[in-house]
Amino acid sequence: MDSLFLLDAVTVIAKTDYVSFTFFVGTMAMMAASVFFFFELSNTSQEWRTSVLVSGLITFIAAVHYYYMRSYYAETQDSPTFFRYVDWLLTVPLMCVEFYLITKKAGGTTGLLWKMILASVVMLVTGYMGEAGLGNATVWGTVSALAYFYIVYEVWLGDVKKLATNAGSAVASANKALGWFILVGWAIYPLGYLIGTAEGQWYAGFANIGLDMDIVYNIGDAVNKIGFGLVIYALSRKAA
Amino acid sequence: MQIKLRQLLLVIGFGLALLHAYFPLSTNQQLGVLFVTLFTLGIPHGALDFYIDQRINVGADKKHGYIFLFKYLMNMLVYGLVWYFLPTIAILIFIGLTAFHFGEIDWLGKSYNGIHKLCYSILGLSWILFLLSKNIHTAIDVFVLLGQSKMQANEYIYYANIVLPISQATLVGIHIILFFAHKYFFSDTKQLFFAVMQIGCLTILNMLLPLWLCFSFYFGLWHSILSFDKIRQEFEMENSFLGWKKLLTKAIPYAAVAWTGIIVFIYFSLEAWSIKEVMPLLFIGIAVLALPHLQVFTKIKLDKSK
Repeated sequence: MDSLFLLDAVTVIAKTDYVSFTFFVGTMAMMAASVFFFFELSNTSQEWRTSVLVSGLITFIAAVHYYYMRSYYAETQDSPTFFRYVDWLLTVPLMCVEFYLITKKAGGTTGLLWKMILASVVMLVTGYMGEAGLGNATVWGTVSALAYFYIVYEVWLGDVKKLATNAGSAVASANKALGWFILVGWAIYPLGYLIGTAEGQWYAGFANIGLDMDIVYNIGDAVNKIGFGLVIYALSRKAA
Repeated sequence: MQIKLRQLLLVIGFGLALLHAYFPLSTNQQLGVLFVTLFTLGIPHGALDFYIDQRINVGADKKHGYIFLFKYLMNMLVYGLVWYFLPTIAILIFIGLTAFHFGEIDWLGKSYNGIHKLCYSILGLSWILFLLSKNIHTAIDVFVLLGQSKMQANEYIYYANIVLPISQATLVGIHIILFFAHKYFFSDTKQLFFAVMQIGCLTILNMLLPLWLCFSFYFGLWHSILSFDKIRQEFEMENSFLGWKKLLTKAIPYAAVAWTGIIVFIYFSLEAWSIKEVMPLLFIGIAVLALPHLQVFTKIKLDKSK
């Protein structure tokens, strides 16, 4: 048997086509996570319902995009950069909203929320500019990295951290777990960016490390979005 | 922390990049900007060395001043001889010196022990190597002449291609260490935040500006003005127009001596008038001034630690 038939009769994934495989697994994982979060809403206390709902929305939006990206890649064998960035542009600011929601009780302000959202938008838009070849990839990548660092700083050392500490041990430990997702989990994306934009750059060696950019992004998305939601879910149970 | 001044200088840097993007400057115009910044700020910032020594050693007799000048000139002479006989060694010494000196000016953290100093020296070294290796095609003429052609142009390019990713990775790696060990290196987490933003902005400017403009910005403006400001703060001069005027006025006499010295040196060393000949000689002139300057500048910190 040379290939696996998955989901529908049209899409045939070759056994060695790891990109398509991770798109398929990503779609299913995001769908399953969305169903889980939405169904668990009724078992969640009022206080944490919005947070869990946002977690479900994040994975649901990602599931829809992954479905499209899977088809796009199957048909064109081309990286669905545009779809991916649309997905991130919707889901990453929602992740920032989660920080606001969990620290709201301890005084989290909408000012902080907007700063985090703005940083995430800058991070993504400049990342897209670099990946789409709309200028110098190193320059856009550096701007994107600075915006990323701002988010890391806020969560680890800045206002979010202070508010989370004031909100009690459950929120503080959840914030720490989310902080690790941002610091380590989100660090997967710059790796994908370096691989995807390596051609002709001083970091051209990244093109030869044997990893496909889409595989890196797909793994990163699955770990971060679902993991992020599960931390929020665990917090809702612990705090309740 | 000089945060506002640093922000202002970065804005000027981005203004320069914007100007160059819309009205690209020719190589001669870029060199013009470089000469202006070097002669108005770059060289004068080192011309306060005698003043620094006088302020640190208040009450010292005239003899002390003569000894200081003698040592200062001897340092220059010895280093000048190294340039003449062992240019490759001299380049390496210069890169080492600038690594430490640029590092200490750019550094926003604690400066209590050897590890702190080692950290900012590595950052300074990575930065200067990043600057040079990214612009190796422009810097190559100067390098070949400085090293008296012991290394060929293609060898410089070969090494630059290796050094560039290493310098960038080191900058990133050191900042990751600084993040995890921020309590050891910084007294306030905001210092870490600004340190990362600063190196990010400098990296972007290095990518956007050609070598001579980047050097004009980094050495002529950024480094010189921050050094001036450190001296101003150290000797408690007012942060006002008058305070700065007083500081710059003090620099003029020695700056004039330095300018004259460099011009005379270039004039007598020049075989044929061309920019390719002048640049390495100017570079050597500045390098020779840099060695004693670094020794004097460090005294500010030594005095502070007392």
